[in-house]
Amino acid sequence: MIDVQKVFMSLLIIIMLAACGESQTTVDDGGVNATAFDWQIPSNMPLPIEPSDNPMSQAKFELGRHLFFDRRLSGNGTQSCGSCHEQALSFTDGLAKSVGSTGQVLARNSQSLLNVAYNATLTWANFSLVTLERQALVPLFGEDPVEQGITDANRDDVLQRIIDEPRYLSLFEDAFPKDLNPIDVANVVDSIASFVRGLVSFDSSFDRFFQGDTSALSTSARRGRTLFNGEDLECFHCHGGYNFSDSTVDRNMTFISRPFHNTGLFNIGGTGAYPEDNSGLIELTGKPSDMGKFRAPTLRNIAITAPYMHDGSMSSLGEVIDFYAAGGRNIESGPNTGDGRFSPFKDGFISGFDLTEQDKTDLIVFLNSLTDNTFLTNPRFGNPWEAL
Amino acid sequence: MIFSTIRHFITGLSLVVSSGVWAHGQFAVEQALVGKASLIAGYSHIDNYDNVLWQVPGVLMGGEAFGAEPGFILREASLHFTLGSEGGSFATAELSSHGHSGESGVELEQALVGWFSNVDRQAIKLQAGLITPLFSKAYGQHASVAYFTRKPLIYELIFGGHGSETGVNAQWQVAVSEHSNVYSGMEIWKGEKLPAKSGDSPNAIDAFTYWRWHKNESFSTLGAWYYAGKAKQRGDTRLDSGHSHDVPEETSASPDIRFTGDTRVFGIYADWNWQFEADKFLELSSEYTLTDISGTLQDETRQSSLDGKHTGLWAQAALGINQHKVAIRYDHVVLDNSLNGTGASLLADSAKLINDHEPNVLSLAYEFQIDSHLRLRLENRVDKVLPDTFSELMINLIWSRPFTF
Repeated sequence: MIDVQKVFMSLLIIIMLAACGESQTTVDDGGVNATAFDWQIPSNMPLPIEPSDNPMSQAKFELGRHLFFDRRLSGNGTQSCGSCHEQALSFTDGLAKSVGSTGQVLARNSQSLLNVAYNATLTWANFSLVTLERQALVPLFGEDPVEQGITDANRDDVLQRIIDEPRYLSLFEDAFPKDLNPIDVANVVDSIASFVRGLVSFDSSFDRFFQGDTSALSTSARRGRTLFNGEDLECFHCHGGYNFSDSTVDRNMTFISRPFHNTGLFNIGGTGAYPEDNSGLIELTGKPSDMGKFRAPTLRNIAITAPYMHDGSMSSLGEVIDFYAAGGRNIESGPNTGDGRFSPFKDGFISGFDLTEQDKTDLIVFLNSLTDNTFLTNPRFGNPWEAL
Repeated sequence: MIFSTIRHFITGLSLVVSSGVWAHGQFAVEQALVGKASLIAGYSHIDNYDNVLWQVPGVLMGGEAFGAEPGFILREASLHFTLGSEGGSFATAELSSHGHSGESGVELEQALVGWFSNVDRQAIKLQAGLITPLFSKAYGQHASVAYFTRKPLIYELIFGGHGSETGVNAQWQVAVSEHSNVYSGMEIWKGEKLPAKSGDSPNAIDAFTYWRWHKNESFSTLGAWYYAGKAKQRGDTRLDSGHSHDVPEETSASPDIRFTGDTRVFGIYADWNWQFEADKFLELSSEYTLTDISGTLQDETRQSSLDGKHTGLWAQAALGINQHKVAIRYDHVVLDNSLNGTGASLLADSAKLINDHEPNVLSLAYEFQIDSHLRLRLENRVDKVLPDTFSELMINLIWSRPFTF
């Protein structure tokens, strides 16, 4: 008969030895987070996608910054990208609708360029614009509307202005060291795209709270956050995630969506129609169901970027909250008469809600906590020509 | 899955000297209405307490896993009935309450029907319904009958604390010699309890065998068990509506993170009890578990594979002299995780899987039998489950009483 007790004790010892080991977590992202650029974002935030044919570099970013703020980069030499995207206004212009270099008033509000590198689609309502390199062509060369107004007729003149600026040669050579004649339109576009891609912001009070500083948000802001993320107000469905937009992409994502929403701003004649010059995604797709659909913009720095909506028709955050609380906008007179609350194309999440004055205050306090003041003044993103 | 599980189980059994048993409670069913009531309540003092959700780095937590809580707590109340008939059929119902974070709602712990037969030196029992798992003594054991109020750590981390669920089981007990018997069983679960979650039913299965040997005053048990569960889009539901526990949201893993995949747990159990005098005993027991996790981790936009090997060990010694008992237990868990994929680094961070800490707990208990139904238990835990160490002192009163109608 075996000695059961000896067997038992032996087994116990074996078991305890077998339990030895070390806790560890190994992570292999397949090199997707490799980058040569210093993004200067918190380690817990994902990096934006860098196009393989235009990888980020500090030299390109720096060249792009000069070009972005250079008024010579327009047909008549009066307007730069920065004219409609001012750093102090989180790279918006403070106008309801932007004005191009020839004085043409655009149909839409200038969007913030903050974290635009994370946008799954660019501009307000274009499903096909998914790279900054392609998007940059629109304001530079667009004919309707005219923004910077570069055309075939004046393109060489514009390029000559850039060549004539002595600071540019070394900037272009540093950015594109393999090119014999680096100053050309393609490199201008790639550089501007690189600068805009690098306009990243994660230093708001909310970000500090999210990174563990529980004192970074006031009690009121926390209440507002709870409301924002609640199923009564539904805000987070379209403005959720780290970039406060459901149209977000980064290099770590597997599942990417590029949604557009009709918020019930218009319902002209009860047909669901929007003004003809600004009707949203339908302008490209022709699908009736895409009437009035626009991309949900980020809410980061939202307190800085008034006026709001794609047409700049609301001047304050309070007005925007009242609009969503009503479940749409009722226009009682004029050419756009119609009750947007009953638009047949309105998104299901825009169903209205009840809000006390305190709730509204809390919500605004929370939205204010998304302001990154560092981003508004950081010389890294500033106008290099002003320093001259 | 069932055939695969059986194959794994047999393989696992071959690794140990198959023997040993114990029965979870009384195997035979009386032809009467019998019951048992128990209650455990007391006070807990914790140094360095912080009101955060118990989120152990390196583990996808969930279920009913809650950390130490200070103050007065009704820890557990249980009312258990079994009605047996002459033909061997029986029905069992159990109501229980497991208090934590000020919540102590009564829930149906067990509601089952079964059939029992005892022929010659063999007995068989079949059960179906809402059942407390039998594969492990420590998992299904109530705090009122254990030496310690909290279960071994691995059951909190992998199985989410206590839990019963819908399933069927079959148990056999065979006397193999004058001094030994073998107790075995298999259970098939709907699979809604951690680590399984919502998929094609049945979703979890386990099997176990224990060999028990005794001679004179010495009793020994050796056993092994195997559990396999499938999870589909499993998240941590501890912060869901009605279960919020007033925990700051930022302290928890993202509730949007879901795990889809398999969890397989293999356990070896052993105990030895020496009744060296009447009302005096020395008991040693230990269990080793190896958890293998394989699947996919994802949130709304990211995805990564997750492979985990979690090793758990607890070892316990208890000494009883008349109405006094003292016990010591050490829990140690090693968590090894590997994530691969474009979303790996962010998901590992959001799911709180970045970890190089080895959770461990040292527990001491003293119990005094006040009368035949009432006991006083003092416990001290040095808790190193989280990277920060804290100490917990508990005083609990335990009342339990069997009854027959």
